[in-house]
Amino acid sequence: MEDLFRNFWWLMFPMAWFVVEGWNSWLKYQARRDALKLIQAYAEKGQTPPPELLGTLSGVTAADPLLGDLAATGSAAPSTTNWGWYQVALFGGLAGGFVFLARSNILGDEGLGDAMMVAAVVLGALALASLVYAITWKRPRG
Amino acid sequence: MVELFRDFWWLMFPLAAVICGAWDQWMKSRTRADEMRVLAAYAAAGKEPPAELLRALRRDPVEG
Repeated sequence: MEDLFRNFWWLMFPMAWFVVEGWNSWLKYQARRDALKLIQAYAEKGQTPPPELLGTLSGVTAADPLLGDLAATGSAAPSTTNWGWYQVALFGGLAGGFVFLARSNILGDEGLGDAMMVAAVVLGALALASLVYAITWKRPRG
Repeated sequence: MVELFRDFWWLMFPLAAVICGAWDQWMKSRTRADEMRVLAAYAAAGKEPPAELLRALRRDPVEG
């Protein structure tokens, strides 16, 4: 069992990421639900909810479970910054780093080298997808 | 069991993606149900829901 942990300890990081994203999504859902409950209370009393409350409803968005906050701007207005290039640099840099670690065998474990190549391929695909996003991105009007 | 895990550990990634997708759909479905409840409350009160509210609800809760 200890041997298994030594070989696969790094799996904790991607798995923790999935758990954190799920938790994040749940919290955002709760915030949206609470705002809706308040609006419903106003509606039942026949009153108009304040525009600030409606504004929070537009701003509260559930996170994308795969891309997280990189995909969700967290605000109602579309972002005027092309974050695609940032993601290209981030994912591309990480993919390059993982390829270097896998090739140089710097950690001295061949099994780990294979795992790093898998991670590099996944990150490389994300960098490629981000590149397409960055090239096709259009600045919102207004 | 340990040997099976060594051979198929990579399956955790697609499985996690499927679980995340299902979770995402579940959150969307619950959000839509909550939104419908608010609109129903307006309908029951015989009032038109504010345009801002309708605009906010038209947005995809996940896409933002």
